[in-house]
Amino acid sequence: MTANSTTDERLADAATGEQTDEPLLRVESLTTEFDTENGTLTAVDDVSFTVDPGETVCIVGESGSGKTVATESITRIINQPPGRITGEVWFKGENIAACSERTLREVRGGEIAHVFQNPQEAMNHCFTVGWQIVEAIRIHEDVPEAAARERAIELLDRVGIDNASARFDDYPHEFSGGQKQRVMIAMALATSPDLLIADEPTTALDVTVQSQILDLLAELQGEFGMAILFVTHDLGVVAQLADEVIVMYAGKVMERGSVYDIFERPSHPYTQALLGCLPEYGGAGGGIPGILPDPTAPPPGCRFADRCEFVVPDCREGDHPSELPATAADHTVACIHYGPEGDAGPIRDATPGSDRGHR
Amino acid sequence: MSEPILSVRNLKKHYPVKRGLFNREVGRVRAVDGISFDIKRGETLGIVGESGCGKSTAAASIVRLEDPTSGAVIFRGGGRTEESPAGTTRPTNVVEFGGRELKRFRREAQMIFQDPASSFNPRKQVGESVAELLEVHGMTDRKQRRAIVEDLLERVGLAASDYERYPHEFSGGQKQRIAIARALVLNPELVIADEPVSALDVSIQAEILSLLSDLQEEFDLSILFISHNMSVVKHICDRVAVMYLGKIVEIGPTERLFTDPRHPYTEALVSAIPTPDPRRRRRNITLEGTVPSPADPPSGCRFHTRCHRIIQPAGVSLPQDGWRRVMHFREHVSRGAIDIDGIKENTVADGSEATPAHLEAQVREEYGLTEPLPDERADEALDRAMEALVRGKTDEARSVLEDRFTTPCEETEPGFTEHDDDHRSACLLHSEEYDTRDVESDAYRTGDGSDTGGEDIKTDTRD
Repeated sequence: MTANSTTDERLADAATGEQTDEPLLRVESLTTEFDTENGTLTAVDDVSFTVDPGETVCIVGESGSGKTVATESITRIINQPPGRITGEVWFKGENIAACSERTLREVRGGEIAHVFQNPQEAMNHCFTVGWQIVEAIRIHEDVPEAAARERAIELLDRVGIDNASARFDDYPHEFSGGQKQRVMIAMALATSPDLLIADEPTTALDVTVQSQILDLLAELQGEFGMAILFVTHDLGVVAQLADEVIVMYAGKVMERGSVYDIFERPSHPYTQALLGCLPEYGGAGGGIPGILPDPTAPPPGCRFADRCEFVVPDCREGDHPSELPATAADHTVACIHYGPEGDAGPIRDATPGSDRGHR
Repeated sequence: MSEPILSVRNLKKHYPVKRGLFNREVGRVRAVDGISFDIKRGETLGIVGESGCGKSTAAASIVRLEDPTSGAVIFRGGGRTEESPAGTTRPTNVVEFGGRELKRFRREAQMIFQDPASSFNPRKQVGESVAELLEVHGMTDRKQRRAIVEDLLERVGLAASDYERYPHEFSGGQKQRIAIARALVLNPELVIADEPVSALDVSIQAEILSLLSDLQEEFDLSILFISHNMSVVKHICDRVAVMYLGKIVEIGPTERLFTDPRHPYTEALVSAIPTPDPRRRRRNITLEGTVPSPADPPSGCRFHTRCHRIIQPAGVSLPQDGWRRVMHFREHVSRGAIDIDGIKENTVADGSEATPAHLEAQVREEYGLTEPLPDERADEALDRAMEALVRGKTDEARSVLEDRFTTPCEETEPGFTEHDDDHRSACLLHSEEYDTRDVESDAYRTGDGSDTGGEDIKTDTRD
């Protein structure tokens, strides 16, 4: 994904000064498999993407799409075995997929920070939140405790914890769900990361709290100039937040492009069907019939073929289709109908919500 | 309009908080605290609200899974009418139903739960789980039971042969379909669905919602639909009730409520829905504070501790966001939530003892009160309170603040104001006294009808 897309004016604003040709994060052919009793389960299958500095990339997909595993594979949070991660992860010019656990530990939680869906489980309930933030700071930086403490309070205040200096000494259970997520964000920001990986950070929260947290993330992104890789199933959140969008299905990337491409010119039948499920886009379509393919034995050809209304016999042959240009150079779609022999006309005509009168 | 099938009047469900040797009641959690509404025949009424607002307790109390503390639930389905036929004493108030009546009532009112995985017996074939209801309600013919269930499984989009399969063989969406079949097997008139799609993926959600509305037409059902998901409610419900801390704050036709919310809480909820349209990114109304405990709800309007439109008393005129921050600070002081010793300990920057000026700066920073208030008398009061607070005289700070900064919202509990056709809200702003700042006309306006409007309407981002 390049940052100089003409369709995207916000992206140019969001990009920070240090713009080189090399993206902040470049994931190449990432594949993550798990050995299970029922055979090898391929959760993420040959996925590549990039994240530029200061940019927000959203990975969107339903349960079982591999979106969480993909992001957790970046910093190898996944246990190996049973997991098996292959592929390259270039972060700031270094292949962190090949580096030692020791080097990785410095990157993880340092330059790349994580925020998870369930803050309750991500915190240690035996220690005060202040202690945990101080620890996060001091693991990565050699600073005296008093200074770390001061910084922790600043961070807590910054993420919107009232009365931060007093609440420093409170335990996680004394915070509400939204506040815990704020604390998690403070902890993630403690080392001024260049990339924040946020995995469904608002899914467990109420809608009003969700909007607070999303606003907060957007503010902090401007302030800290970090890139955000945001994983969610919620298309509403994607539309509000993303610069670039990656649509995943059954471990594969189906479509990628700017947020405007995805919402206004969705090109893959799956993306269209997904948008069509939203009440705002009609929603009466009745969902997407069928179920996900078996991840231990994916069918040949396109993973979505069984549920696709534009399926032709060629869809079920060979490998999953490669990504082809859809409407713009950086808007690609993995569907054979966009190939030289295909005809994407009927798919384009079926774009949901095309009657909503954009612009 | 026909008569309602269900009328709920002043329904309350309080849970006692007991403590000590003799299990004395020391307090009450007012989960549902006096709600009233009607559901008409064939209508879908939504109840929305954040977690802890009492919406699920309300549902459970209506079908008597929980025994309500007080109130009435008048059910007119199943041939019941309000006037009992002469000579018989058939009550229509569900709250007073005895065992037999209750069983009969539960034939006519069914529930669908959030988590289909935990609402089926894993050791029982799903068909049997559904057929069990028929058996309990007196259908002895095994073959007939099976025929009915198989037919129903097909009508909810599964196959008759699925009868003999077990719950683990189905996906979440399929299980929810079976749960719907189970809810319909006794041919009920009212279905209470408690977050029926919250655990499902969007594509499955859409399937289940369209199935529900098809079946509603086919079976002529009335549905009470409980959800925290505003966009789902918007698209399936005819009318919506918004609950906050055990009370309904606004109720009205869905369209009206979403385009013209009249209660500040509804307004905030509606503004917080993430719209799947990248060209309409809007600033949300951000609510302050957390939902207070239902064991000790705020006085007056329960929403006043978080409301962005909290009313200023006569004699105070501050910008609304500054006023909100002052009230937020006042509430924290009153609750004793500001621990000066803790702050003192944590603000020692260079090893020296923190001075009162230091502390004051810290507190002002944390509550966003660094600028002097534009109202002189208010500013003077705030100064005095700050001074007292950092010197450890919390009581004095409290009395200064509580004396100077008051709001009608904490004194008067608002009654419902009728707006138009069936649309009511409970907010003091609509009473004659305060109606000068008509909700419709000011800059806080959001909602679907508005333009993208970039204006920053945030008050604060604290929760």
